[in-house]
Amino acid sequence: MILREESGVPLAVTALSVAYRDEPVLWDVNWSVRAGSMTAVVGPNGAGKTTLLSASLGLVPRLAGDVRFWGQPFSAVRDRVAHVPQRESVDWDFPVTARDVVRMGAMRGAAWWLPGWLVPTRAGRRETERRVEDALVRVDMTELGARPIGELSGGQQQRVFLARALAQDADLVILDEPFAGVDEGTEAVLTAELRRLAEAGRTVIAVHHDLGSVARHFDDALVLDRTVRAQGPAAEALATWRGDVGAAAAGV
Amino acid sequence: MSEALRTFLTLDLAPLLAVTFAAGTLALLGAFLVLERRAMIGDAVAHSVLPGLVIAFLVTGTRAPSAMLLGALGAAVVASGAIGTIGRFGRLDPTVAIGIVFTTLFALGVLLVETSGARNVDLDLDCVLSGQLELLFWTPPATAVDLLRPAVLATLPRETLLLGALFAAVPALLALVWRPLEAAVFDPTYARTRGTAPRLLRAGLFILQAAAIVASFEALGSILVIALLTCPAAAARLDARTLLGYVTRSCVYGLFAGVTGYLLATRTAPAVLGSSIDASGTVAVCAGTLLAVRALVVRRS
Amino acid sequence: MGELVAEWLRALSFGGGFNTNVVLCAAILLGVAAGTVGVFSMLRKESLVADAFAHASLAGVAAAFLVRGALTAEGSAPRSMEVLILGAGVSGSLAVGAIGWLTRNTRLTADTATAAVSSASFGLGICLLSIARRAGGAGQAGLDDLIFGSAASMTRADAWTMGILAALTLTITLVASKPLTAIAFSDRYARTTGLRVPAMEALLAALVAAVTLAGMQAVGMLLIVALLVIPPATARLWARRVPPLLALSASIGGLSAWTGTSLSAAAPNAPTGALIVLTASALFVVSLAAAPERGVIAGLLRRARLRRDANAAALRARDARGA
Repeated sequence: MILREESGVPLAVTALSVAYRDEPVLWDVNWSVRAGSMTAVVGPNGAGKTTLLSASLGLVPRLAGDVRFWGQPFSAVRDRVAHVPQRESVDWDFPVTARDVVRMGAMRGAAWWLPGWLVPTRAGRRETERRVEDALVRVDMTELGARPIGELSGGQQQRVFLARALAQDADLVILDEPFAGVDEGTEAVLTAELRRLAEAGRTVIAVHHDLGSVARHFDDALVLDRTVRAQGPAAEALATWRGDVGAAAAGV
Repeated sequence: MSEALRTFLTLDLAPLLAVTFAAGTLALLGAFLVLERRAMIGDAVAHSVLPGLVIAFLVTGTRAPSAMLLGALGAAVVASGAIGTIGRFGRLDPTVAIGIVFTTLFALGVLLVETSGARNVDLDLDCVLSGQLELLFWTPPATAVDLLRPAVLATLPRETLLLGALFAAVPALLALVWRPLEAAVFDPTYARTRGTAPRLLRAGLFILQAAAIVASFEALGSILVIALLTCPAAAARLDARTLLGYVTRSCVYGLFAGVTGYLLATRTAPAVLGSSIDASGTVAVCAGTLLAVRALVVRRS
Repeated sequence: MGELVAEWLRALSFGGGFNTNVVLCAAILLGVAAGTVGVFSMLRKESLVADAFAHASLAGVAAAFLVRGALTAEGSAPRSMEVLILGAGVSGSLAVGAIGWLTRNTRLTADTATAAVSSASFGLGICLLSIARRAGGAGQAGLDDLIFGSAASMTRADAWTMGILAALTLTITLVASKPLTAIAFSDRYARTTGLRVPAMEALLAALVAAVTLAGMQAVGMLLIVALLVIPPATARLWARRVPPLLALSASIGGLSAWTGTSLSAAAPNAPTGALIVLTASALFVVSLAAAPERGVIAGLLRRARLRRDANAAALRARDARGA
């Protein structure tokens, strides 16, 4: 068996179990994501949606199971995967400008720890700066680039986070609650940019909390409640899950 | 060379340089502690230096600098590890974990100093409180021109040279890993997904911070070290816009507090009060005053 | 060594002479009071406020000493605990006020403000202390005792001051334990019950200050915070509800003070404060290892069991799919 075989599946999760302290949060999750799709991860509060993404990216230890990106472990394909964490996960009072944050997306390569002026390849700084400016333009934040992030609104902060992922130029973008607490303008910008990524053949995965808009924004859905309840095309997956819940309620 | 200059060079140059280098380094590294909301960890590390030094002395029987440094660094690592374990298993608030660890280690240090032979080798509790600046003196060269010769400067006391080396090395090290470090401190989760080893960087940063605390112990004592780790950084934090601006400003504030505090204690105080006052204490007060003044000027907008 | 143990056991069983016994009783009361008050500051996540208060009190103690020395006859001022405690209370309260102001009015977080204010004001204390030492006089040595704690240097009057202050604090804490529990649980909830939250917060701050001041001479200002932190934390590892938490924490505080103080009576070289703190620490370490829910051993065992179950579940799932 060839372990490191390339495959077309951007993300495949097998028999994944995760516990925080002694409390199982995910139990035996099996899930695979279609290339070029926009996939929503939905489920009730405490269903383990964020944990599933974190465990896939190696951010929380796994109890058991396996996660593959294009058939490979995450460490082999880091630069092809962009992660947009929840907005609350960082200190927005931090002294950096929006542009500094976006620039973090553009750092890459094995020699990441060398300062830019010491790296001869990669067309150096100019290429980095071009990508940073390009990402800022796409989320309509060019004018606010020099602002400290603490002076931005919640929606603008979310756009900066997306721009950081765009600057990375990844094939798979994983977002955690990108639409939580943002204004309508930002929601429109985010939706358009994510759709553009999918149309260009990239894959988008997002934790989403608004069941009503899942089918409108996304192609596929995973319904999670500690373990997989349903997965597949968004409308069908939701219908399956509702049917299960309805049957369970009728059974009571 | 005039008599006044000669006196200054003999009595004041070495401690002034030591306290200034220490203040600059601590302020520079303390900026990251404050930013990561780990100021109290710095507090705990500073308190744990004492038992580390005494145990290293009791084990090796010497006050060799390398043994002292290793002992204190070991204690710092034990302190931070213990804080982590208490929080993880005991599910106690971080402030509680910190409170337990630093008081325990400090109590251990006090007990060992008072009951072991360590007391006889100038590791007494006074040096815990305010350091041993007065032990630093220098025999200056005959002519002023000789002051520029490296070989002459190399005869400065060991503590001064060590702190000077640290003050030169720390900015260079930080510059080398600046971008990934910025990402590691701002958003460690994201930095981990990028594979830029944020935990390694932060561990390295912690070792530097601990080393600076240990090296400054002799100049400032274990508690005043904390004032220089936190006050300049807090003063710079009030209205910082970029990381580089913040860190630079913190360092400048630290240097300012070092020079001003030392000169106030050894020059102004004798003129006003009739005798000099504790220099390291005055440096801490200067750093605190700087924070107070800046906080009054820059309120939260 | 055997002699030391015999001496310790004698002091432990109140066989050490009247003065020693008075100090011992007062210390036990202090431990019980600190263990009780400490529960509430731990539940409010304000454990280190007492540390800042104590560090800052050095400035007040030294200032009070200098002022008193200037007012009374040249260099002959006897050490007077009440005056020093008053000074400590004033400077400690100023520091706690400054921390609150910084957290409310600037972007600094509570931990930064606490570390900055307590260390800078300790620096001020060191400066003033260096002046006081130069001024000299009979009482100057007593200042050092306040920093590191020394039960041996306590007079009978000192012990009475400590005991009465501790007993008073303990009584008030127990009487007010219900509203204190309410504000420790949730400010907002407490407000809906019609409680005057700011008044209760002020009361808790005053109780913490009283314990800190009471214990300064026996335990020392650098270590007194341990009595407010370690017994409640140790008790928290075993107890889930507030009443047993209070009882256990008070017992651990009293036991630590009893053991530590009697040890230092047997070995006068050893600093009392450090011995009390290390006794409490030992109890904490044992509890952290052995406690049923929050203990390290139990935690590691549970984790291993869970990992085994998860792997088994994964295997079963694979078999089912394969079949």
